[in-house]
Amino acid sequence: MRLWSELRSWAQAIRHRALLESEMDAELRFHIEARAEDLMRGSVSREVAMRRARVEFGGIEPIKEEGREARGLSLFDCLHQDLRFGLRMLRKNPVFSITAIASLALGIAAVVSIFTAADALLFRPLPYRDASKLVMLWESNRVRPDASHSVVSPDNFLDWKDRNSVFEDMAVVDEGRSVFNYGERSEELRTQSVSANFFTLLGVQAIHGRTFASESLLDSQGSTLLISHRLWLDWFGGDPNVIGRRVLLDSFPRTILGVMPAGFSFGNQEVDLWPSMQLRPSTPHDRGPRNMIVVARLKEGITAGQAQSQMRGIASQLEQEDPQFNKNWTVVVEQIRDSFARGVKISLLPLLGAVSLLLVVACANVANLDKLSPWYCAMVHGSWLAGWLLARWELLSSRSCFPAYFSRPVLRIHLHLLLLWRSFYSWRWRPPICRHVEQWTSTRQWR
Amino acid sequence: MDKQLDLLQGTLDMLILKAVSLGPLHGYGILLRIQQISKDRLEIQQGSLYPALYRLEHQGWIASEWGESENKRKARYYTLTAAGKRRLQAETENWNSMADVIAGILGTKPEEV
Repeated sequence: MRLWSELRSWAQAIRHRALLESEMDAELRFHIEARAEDLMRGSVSREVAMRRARVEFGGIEPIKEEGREARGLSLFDCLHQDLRFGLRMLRKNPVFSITAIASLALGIAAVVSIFTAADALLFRPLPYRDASKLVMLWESNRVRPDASHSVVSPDNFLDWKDRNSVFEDMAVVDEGRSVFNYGERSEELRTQSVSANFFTLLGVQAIHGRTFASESLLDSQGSTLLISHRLWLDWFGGDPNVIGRRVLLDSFPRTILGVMPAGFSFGNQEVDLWPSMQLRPSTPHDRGPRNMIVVARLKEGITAGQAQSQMRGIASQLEQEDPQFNKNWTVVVEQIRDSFARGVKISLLPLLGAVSLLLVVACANVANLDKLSPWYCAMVHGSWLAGWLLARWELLSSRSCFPAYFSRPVLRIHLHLLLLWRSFYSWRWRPPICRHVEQWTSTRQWR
Repeated sequence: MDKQLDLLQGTLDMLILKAVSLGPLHGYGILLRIQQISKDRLEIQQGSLYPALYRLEHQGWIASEWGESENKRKARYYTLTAAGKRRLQAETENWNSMADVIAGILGTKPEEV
């Protein structure tokens, strides 16, 4: 209640600044005159009375100053003054200014980029229908720790699909790069070749044209392609007549079937093309390399744990049937969000925390609220170090076969930049604003 | 030293709220009224009156309006708001109970300890 009336009074004070000043003037003058009149009743002349009244009252200006302060105006004035002073100081010390600005810029850039990656992978809800029912399946080698979440062989996948009763549907994705050619323009882009039921399984629609819309794994139409929104704008200028155009993908002709909505991605935001995949028929004794990413939708009422148990059973059957290929291999069923995050979560979250703290410290330093206690600084250093160490460990030990958005070289550069920036850490520069903030907070009555 | 000043500031606020509760007054009138109802035992420093008034108005306990004084001159009159009335009550209770407690402590005889 009080805060509300304070804010209102402050806003009014800002708006009617001149009026406020003249009103205060009039009020204080009235007071002095009233006092003088009282004095005059004691048969004193007017001039003497006025003089005495003024002397009794004391200075008008300090009262007005306190009046302004009471309304929160002095802080505003100080802000204004400090801004001008600050700008002057910045101009006078260009070296310092450039370094301070650069360090803040680096801090902000680091936080923004890491947060974007974290947001896309960890925080934002997934753009699929009933994402909680989606799981990914990985082959897992019992004796090789680096192959705990390995991509899947296509023949194993087909067997899983045939033999399971826990999944509504299963689809495959094969990531890679291809040369995309349209007219004169040609570029190597990231692709995800997908089985024909992929988009139906995820429950997403194209915004122009259509997806493969097939219940089976094979695309009845032959070689078609879905493009991303970004590519559609970039290469075709957002032309809705792009449907049906023929393009070349790795020199093979394909027809554009549809455009995916903006922001759609499947674990990798760099992908622009989704060509349809033809799963080749299996030949015995050649189960092919393990190269497929498998996504599946659980049936109603089935949990991931139940699916895991059944798939384990199926995997051990396959192990017995083809020991040469499948020895020691089993299956892992993982929630889709965990799969997406697995490559990056362990490095992103602490890094995000550490970088945010660093930005706070940088700002605090530039503003020089430097009553930072030593343990706080130690905490910041510690968290930064922890984040850095975790990131390095992640770099060294990760064998995630599902590529993370946050690619390795970029991460390394970021870390080195942070190191550099960290060395500009301590600075002494004291703008007056901090003094005023301290004063203001100490004169308020905390009841 | 700081403690004392705080107490005085808080007390002045209470006295102003009380003075204004008895009827709308301009700044000088508040000064006179406090002097009057304290039977001339309390004299408020002129320099601390207006900052207190502005602060109380900023916090919403009193409201101000421009009106005409007895000599037909423009003066700003202060009145108590509803919130201010509640505040005055609360502060009075606080003050009374504090006075009781202090009196009790100060009146403790050695045998009672």
